[in-house]
Amino acid sequence: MADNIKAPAIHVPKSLADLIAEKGKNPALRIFAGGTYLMSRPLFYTDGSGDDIISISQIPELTKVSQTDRYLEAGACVTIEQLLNSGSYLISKSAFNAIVSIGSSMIRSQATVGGALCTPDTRFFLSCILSTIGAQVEIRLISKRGLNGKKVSSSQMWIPVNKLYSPEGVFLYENKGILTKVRIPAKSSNVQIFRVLGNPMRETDSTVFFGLEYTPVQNGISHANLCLVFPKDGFFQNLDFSNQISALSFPANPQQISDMGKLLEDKLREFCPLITPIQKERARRLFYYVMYEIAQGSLV
Amino acid sequence: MKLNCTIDGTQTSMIVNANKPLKRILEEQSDSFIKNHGCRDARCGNCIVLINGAARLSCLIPAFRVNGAAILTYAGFRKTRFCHDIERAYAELGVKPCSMCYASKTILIGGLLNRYDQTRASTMINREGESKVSYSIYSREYLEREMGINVCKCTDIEDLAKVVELAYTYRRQRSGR
Repeated sequence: MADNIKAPAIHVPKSLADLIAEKGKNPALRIFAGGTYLMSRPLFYTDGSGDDIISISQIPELTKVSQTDRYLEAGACVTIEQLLNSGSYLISKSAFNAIVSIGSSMIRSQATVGGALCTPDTRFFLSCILSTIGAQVEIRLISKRGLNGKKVSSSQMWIPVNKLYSPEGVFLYENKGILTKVRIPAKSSNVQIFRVLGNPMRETDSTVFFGLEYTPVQNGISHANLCLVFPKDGFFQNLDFSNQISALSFPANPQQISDMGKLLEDKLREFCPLITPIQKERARRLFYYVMYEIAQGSLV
Repeated sequence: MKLNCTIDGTQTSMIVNANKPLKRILEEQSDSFIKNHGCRDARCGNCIVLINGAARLSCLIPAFRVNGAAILTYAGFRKTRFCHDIERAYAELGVKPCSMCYASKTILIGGLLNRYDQTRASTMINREGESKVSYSIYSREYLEREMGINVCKCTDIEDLAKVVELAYTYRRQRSGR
């Protein structure tokens, strides 16, 4: 103990199996990836909780990037900057620029892909981007079996990024599993649009992340996938609403777009009741802006 | 834990909690490190130091991550010729950040110039020949994002861009390139 503050022990597993075993024995262990989130909490050092920390930066499976023609696979401890460097040819230009806009290179060199997706109480732009482009994550679920639950085992599954969160934006796998890999599909001919309104670090109650992917077809769009993320209070990705966007034919008349905007408001009220009025308004206006942009493009 | 590292060229060994932020360690170890009590959560960008040559926010780095590292605060950086290039540029252009952010902005510029030297990145081109993002030293958008980590608005971004450009020119002249 120094500074009269209880010192946590730092566990540094060297393999994924060790990580799962340690986390299984002690679910309260705080996973430390890049540290940009944990260290920015004001009471991280002084709260004296002394919860031990498990640093995952030395695990080879979590720090490697591999790619094929169809996808890029990054370990959870790969930094965002490494992801950009490795994926510059695979990720679409829109997604690439959106990821670059997350922060300065200083932050991107420290923040990790897994860490940015697994923060317990705040959602960041990366979750919106990856969810929009159809990325998937590998989760290792930890379970105990045997006499007195002493034996720790894990099972793995691949799920879309949007299944990590509830509609209220809550991370569903805290203390239940470990995110180990992210798989990003190679760019396709789809159009991707990403927008941010507000400052997610300083204005969590008014920031909105917007992501839309669609396939342009004659007189319209198809396979639309809309994702709206609100840092503290909501994660909205609704298949029904996306299908309704796909049903629009362009150029769409203003009344149709206005009706879709009202429908979006109703859906947000239903699925993300905790978002603030300004976030709802910003989401609606972003939606209008993008729809009018698409409509304008269809006139050319 | 026992932390062994080099701070401004001096080998240092101390007993600290493993999760202690580097910023707190430097406030105790280095008299000249700015003690900014207003920010505890990576909002101000005034605690930038060089760790193994790369600029980092010291409030986001725990002690266990810098074991064996070479840390350079402004007190050490100002003695280097890289800092002299930047200060020459400040003087030439009549630009001077305020006392609160001078150290951080100078180290930030130093870190940027180190990156330019290492990567010589100009524009990233993808397979189709489209440019993705311009990392050119002259790109205002890039500099705005990089310098934006320090929230102090005492200096205009256009002026800082000129300082970066001029400091890089001095660095290249000095190294004969």
